[in-house]
Amino acid sequence: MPINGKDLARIVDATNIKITATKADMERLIAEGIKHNFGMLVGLPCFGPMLIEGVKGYDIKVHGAAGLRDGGGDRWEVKVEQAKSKLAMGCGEIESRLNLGYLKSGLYDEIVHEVRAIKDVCPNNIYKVLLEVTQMTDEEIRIACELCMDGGADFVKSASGEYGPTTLHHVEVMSSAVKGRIGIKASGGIRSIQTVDQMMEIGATRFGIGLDSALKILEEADNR
Amino acid sequence: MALNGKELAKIVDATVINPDATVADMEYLIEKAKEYHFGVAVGLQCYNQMLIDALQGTGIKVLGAGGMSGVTPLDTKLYMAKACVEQGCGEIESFLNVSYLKSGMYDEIVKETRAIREIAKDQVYKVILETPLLNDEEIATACEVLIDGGVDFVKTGTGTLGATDIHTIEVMAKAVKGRVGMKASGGIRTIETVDAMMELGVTRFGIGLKSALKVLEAADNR
Repeated sequence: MPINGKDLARIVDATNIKITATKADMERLIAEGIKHNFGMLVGLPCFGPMLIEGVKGYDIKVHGAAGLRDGGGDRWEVKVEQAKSKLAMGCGEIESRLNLGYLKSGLYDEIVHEVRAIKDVCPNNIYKVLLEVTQMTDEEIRIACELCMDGGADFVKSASGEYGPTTLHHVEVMSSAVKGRIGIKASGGIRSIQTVDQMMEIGATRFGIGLDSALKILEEADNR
Repeated sequence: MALNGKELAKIVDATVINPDATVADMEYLIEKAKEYHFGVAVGLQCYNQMLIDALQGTGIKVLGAGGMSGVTPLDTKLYMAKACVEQGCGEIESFLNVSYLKSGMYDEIVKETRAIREIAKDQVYKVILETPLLNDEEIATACEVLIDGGVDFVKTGTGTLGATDIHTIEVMAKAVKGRVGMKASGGIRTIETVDAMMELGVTRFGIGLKSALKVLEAADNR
């Protein structure tokens, strides 16, 4: 049964993380977040406290980034510190980036160790790992999903969108690897309700969508 | 003032930071850094210890990052800078908070820069502007604010958002007036570019390793 706008908003992480976004853009993210009751807001980390204050009293979480460097090439200690710091600030969910260099170097134990170390500091909050599937072969996606599950992540997230959109095929590969054991967040280039519907069909239970596209998609959800 | 390859290498930060860089890539960076004696080796932060250990005693510095992006919260930038200093990084780089700049939050930027400066008191400290995101006036403002913050160098960009051009260096040089150093990086691929930028006052370059090797060769063959 196709999801309506109201229900869809609850599983959308509405996002504005352009580094040129201003304080005013963050204010708009808060306003639209409240108006449409998105489940989560993803804004610039330096405005974390402002976002958390802005949605106080509403059932809207604010995302906490444990590491930002493309490809997850930061040190694991820094990611853990960031996770701790974001939780202390009041972020409801944590996301980190899989270390792509380690994956391609075959340093699988290091990846599991990192994921485990981050999950250990957020036992009661949802923790997602961003894979960047557009930079991986299907086999690498499967391995990455296994490693994240081994490490205790709650969700695997497909992409940031910076390196191209997540396709249906990507979600299929993730889904067949994950077999329902953890959640799948689809993000990166998602711009229509058709894409959302199709991805939900094959197992995506959360979406990361840029704010403007998210508003458009909510409207499409109510008008099909 | 045409530098030869050997002299130029001293002022080049040889860089391999593609997000999927492997251990083998870092081994290659180490090998070439030793062979050509670059001033600084820049790898992915997760491989820093490996780089520091391998380059011990060579005089080649390893770069430490105080933040993954300008919008990294301050407490994390400080944590990272501290960790890099403790690890043994010889130079620290952080990113300008472009969002703060465009929001007019200049005091925040000065405060942040001084705090990182305090941690990197014995290291060369550079801040990356990401000039492709800024207009000329913003570049000039950014330089002023960062000089206020106590940096040793302003650096143009990472190259991921576009190449640094001569015009950008002109704008920066005009704003900086020699008060701090300028590091040019992002899409620098020829000795002609290097020479032209040095003419305008650039005293440090960030160049991808492959291009750096080509540029050094060209420096010796002109």
